Amino acid sequence: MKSGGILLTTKNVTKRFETDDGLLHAVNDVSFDVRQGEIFGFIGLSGAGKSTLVRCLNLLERPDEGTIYFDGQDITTLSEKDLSLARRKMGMIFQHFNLFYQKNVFENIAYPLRLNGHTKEEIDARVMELLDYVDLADKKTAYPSELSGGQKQRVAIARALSTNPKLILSDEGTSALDPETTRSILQLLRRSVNEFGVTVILITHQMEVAKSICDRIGVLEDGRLIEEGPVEQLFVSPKQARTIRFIQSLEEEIEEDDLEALSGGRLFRLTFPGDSSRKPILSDLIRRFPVDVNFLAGNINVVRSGKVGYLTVEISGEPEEIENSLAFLTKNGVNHEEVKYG
Amino acid sequence: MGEFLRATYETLQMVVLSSLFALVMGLPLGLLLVLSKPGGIKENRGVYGVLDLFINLFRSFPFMVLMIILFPVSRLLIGKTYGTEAAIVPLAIAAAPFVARIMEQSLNEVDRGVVEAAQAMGSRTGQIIFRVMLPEALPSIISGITITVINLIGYSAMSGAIGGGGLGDLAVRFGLHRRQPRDLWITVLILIAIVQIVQFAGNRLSRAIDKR
Ligand SMILES: Nc1ncnc2c1ncn2[C@@H]1O[C@H](COP(=O)(O)OP(=O)(O)O)[C@@H](O)[C@H]1O
Ligand SMILES: [Mg+2]
Repeated sequence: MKSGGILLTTKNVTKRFETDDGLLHAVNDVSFDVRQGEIFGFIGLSGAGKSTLVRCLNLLERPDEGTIYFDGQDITTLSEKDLSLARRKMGMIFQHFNLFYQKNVFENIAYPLRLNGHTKEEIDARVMELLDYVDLADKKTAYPSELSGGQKQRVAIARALSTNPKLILSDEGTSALDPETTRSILQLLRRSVNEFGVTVILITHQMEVAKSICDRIGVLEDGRLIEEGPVEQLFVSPKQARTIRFIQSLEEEIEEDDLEALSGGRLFRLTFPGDSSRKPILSDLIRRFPVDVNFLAGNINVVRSGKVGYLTVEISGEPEEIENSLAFLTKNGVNHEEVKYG
Repeated sequence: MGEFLRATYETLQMVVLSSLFALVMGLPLGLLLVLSKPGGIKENRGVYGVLDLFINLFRSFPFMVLMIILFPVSRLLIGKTYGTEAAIVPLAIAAAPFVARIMEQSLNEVDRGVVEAAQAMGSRTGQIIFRVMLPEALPSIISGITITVINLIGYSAMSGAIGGGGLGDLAVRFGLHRRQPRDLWITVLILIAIVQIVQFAGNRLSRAIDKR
């Protein structure tokens, strides 16, 4: 199934925007290859340039510099007509689905087929096939406003797949969906890769999405591709210190979002100034006071590098013992701040 | 009675025809504004700037003044400067820039993301206009047409005062020259009824086709 040939290559793609604060390099000298049949993900914090990059790939955004080879041609040099033909070999899905509101599900999926001038019979057959594939045959005549987010994205995927494209681009395609729906959409994408041999380039700020579906990942920071590699490599043994920090900052973001006291205690965010972080303060604390400490989130790397580190912990026990523990932490130079949750 | 019927017929004739011509001129202008605006799919600052200025200029003329200026154009096109047919020309021309703005507004409401999706699928400009922008904006366009028609009902009544015929002309004659307040009020009621019917039908149609 995976032929592994190169489907898309970018060389030194750069996109600048004029902003009030001067010239912004939204995408800065980015080069990478994507192989046929793989799922390539870009992750990065908000504003890293992910959307701009993916929009450069089908020239919704025209790069200021660089070339993009897709399926054997440099699409940055194509005439408008040829570009529209090249785009018909790519599908795209979006965070907010971008379905045609005034067309029903059938017409949404039929749209790309109509552009390609298929006959009515061909269109009917293909749309029904796709409706079955995304499990929405009963919604054929429904309008987008009548569908849930997950159903809308399945229609969008069917629409993107309708002309048998070689590539699907996804700009935060699961970011507006709940975790369960996200999983089902990711499964659908994975299934499309396996069954149709389509290639997927997706961008996401959600670490879980990148981890669970991508074969390879690129990390974007301030418009630059700071590291790329197979997903295992990137998470287990990243090459760049910046990548490590980046992955941890993403994990923080996720964990801070759904922090929860596990055993009914109180949550604290402890901050360690550089020198105190080398002393075994927490193990002292657990030995001296009859309290339990649960570690929920933290950033060890920053601690090691001598900067301020932090840990989010849950401390449970008798109320006065918790207060004693906090006093002990303060005495040892560790600041604490109660975290509200729920 | 016969006078009322004839005047109502003339008013309807003026309104329908001038609306039609105003739309024929205004809709493409509105479309051109949206396509050429900064960030539009056929961005062109020159075209947009000239069009924008031209429409604003036209719209800053008081309607009556515009009518008076344009009546000579009627002589050129129709050979008359009074009567129903003669009023249609200035009415349509005066309403066209207004229609352009209304259409611009409707088309600007089309979700940018939807247009981008269509571009990403490889639609050409004409396909985006006719298969995406116009259908997506249609409910709003119909509301805009309703407003245009209602405006033209008002304008056509005014044109009556300067020789345009129709219910406006009748009102002037009853109210001003003959001092027949009862008949004046009947023409007003007929105008109100026409406006209500147009508004009601426009709202219903717009809502019926809007799937959003
Ligand atoms: N059309 C634009 N004009 C000006 N600045 C833009 C434009 N599009 C994106 N940017 C800026 O480029 C940077 C990258 O944006 P984006 O690609 O949307 O990031 P991401 O998708 O990773 O959140 C941001 O600082 C954003 O404000
Ligand atoms: Mg984005």
